[in-house]
Amino acid sequence: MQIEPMHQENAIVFKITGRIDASTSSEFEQIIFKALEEKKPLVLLSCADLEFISSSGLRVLLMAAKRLKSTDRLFGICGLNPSIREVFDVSGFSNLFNMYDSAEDAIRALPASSNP
Amino acid sequence: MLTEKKSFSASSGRILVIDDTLENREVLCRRLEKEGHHPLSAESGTQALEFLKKESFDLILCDMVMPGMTGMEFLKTVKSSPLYREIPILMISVLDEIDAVAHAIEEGAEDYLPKPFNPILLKARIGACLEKKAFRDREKKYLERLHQELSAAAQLQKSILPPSLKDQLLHVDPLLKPASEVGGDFYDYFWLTPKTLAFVIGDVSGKGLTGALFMAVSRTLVKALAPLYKDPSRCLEEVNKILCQNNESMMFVTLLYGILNVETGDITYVNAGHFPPLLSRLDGFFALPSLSQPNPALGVVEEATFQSQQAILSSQEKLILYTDGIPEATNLHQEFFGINRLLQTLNSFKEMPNQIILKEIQEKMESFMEEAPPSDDITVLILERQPLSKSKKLSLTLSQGLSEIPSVLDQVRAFLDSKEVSEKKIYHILLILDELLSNIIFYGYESSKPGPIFIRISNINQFITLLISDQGKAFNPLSKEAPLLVNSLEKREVGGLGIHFVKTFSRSMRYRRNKSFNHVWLLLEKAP
Repeated sequence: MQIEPMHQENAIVFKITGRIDASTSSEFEQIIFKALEEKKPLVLLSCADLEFISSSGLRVLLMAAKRLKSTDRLFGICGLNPSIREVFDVSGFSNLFNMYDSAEDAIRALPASSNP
Repeated sequence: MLTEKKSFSASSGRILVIDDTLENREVLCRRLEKEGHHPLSAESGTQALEFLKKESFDLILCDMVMPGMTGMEFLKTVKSSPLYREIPILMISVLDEIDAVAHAIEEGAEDYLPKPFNPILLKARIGACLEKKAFRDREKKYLERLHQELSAAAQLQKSILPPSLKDQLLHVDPLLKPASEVGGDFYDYFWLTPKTLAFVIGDVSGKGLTGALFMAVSRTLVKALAPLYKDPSRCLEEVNKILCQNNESMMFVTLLYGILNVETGDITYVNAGHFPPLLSRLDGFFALPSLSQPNPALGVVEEATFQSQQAILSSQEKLILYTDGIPEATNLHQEFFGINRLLQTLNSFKEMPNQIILKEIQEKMESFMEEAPPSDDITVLILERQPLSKSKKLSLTLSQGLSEIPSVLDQVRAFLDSKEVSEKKIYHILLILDELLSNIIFYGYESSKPGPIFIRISNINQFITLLISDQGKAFNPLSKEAPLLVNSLEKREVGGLGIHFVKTFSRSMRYRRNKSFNHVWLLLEKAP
């Protein structure tokens, strides 16, 4: 697993590569929760190079999304491959998170109030 | 062992007397009774045949000249019947019929009695016939019992030799043809560890029962001592010492004992008096090198030391061990079968399955031997390492906890790729494994010191089966309820997803607690 943060003006975009499984999810959790403290209106996970995610990784996503929701911020996911998309569908996560095809789509979709 | 229970007596017998003259019958029967026999008389050959159907006789006395069925005709009928032909027949005739009597003896009659009867001659001839019959019966019984004993021994000897081995990484196929019922050749193979296989081929100096006994002792010694010595030469030194003790009959055994690591193909072997093994390479079979100072046979020199040799059996290569019964098989022209004929046969069929190679060797030898009887036992052992992709099963053990999961999943992915499982299903299987393995580590073994988890994956037609076994706390994943998939972030609970995936993505699933083990069994399709 590799996580590469890209700080933009009103969003943090994490480019995720590799696998998030039982052995890497706690590291994933630390990185994501640290980023949440930056109070950017959008946290976006760019998952085009994410190969694998199991329930331990999804648990982190769910907790992060709950935290953002409670502070009225957006949590978005983009670029899922078909296998992972299926896992999101089966989990019901596709209906819980904001799903985008690309990072550009996600930033464009931010409410006008969030833009400076 | 062979024992004669019934004491042998030729003094009296059940005797059938055939004569068309009532007076003759009565005279004969009276005499026979006086001698202690039990006669029964028949007035014709036809009547006698009826009596034969009803009871058994030790001897038949038959008149040569009778109306209807003649004595000769009766004799021929009895001697051509498999049921009665063993009963001795004494022909009764007047002295001027001597040519006819000679003819009767040619046709299988035991002897003849001249008329009128001479009591001393009668007693002597009947006594001789009955004695002969009793000897023959005893011999027949003895041979039957010997045959039974030998086939029981052959059966036992056969049953201690293992059948073909079909392991994921290795196939072993044997051929053993004893020259007689029981033999002095043997082979054996058994696992020393899950990754190392011991293999043995041996040839005892004697044949028959002595050879078979020494063979059983040798085979058992190697099998019993093998697990105690990592170094096969040390093992054979111990076997040799024991075989040398109390070996007054000076029996010995040539033996080749090797250890093969089925994962790496490394072989360490000790050759004590055998032809060197043959190894297949792309351009054909060749013999592994012999030692400059060959090891002695076992059972000869008590203080002998043995030197081991190394070889590598690569994937899909075959190693062939054989006893001298093959190269030294001799045909009627006193020619040896030789190693070259063996190599030729092996090279022409090297791409074939081992069973076919073994059959070809046998056929080649049979046509070479023509009518010559086999002079020695014949044993061939083929060890063949299997290519990984061909194996239908993958067995893995996880014992290092979470950090080991990625490498386990990598191996599983490689296996599934080789089985042409669809990308989507591979994902499902890897997800299921990640979920179940981490569950077992976290909850079953409570993270601290995870015990071993055994994973077996098989490809059966269009299905993949997973069997995951652990010795953690009893936990039935099926008993867990699926999380409520509510569309509200606030209300959605964290957790329960892993088991939900396992249930959703497997076609069927079973759980069993057996003693200290949890077993989870899953079935998935290979596609789409």
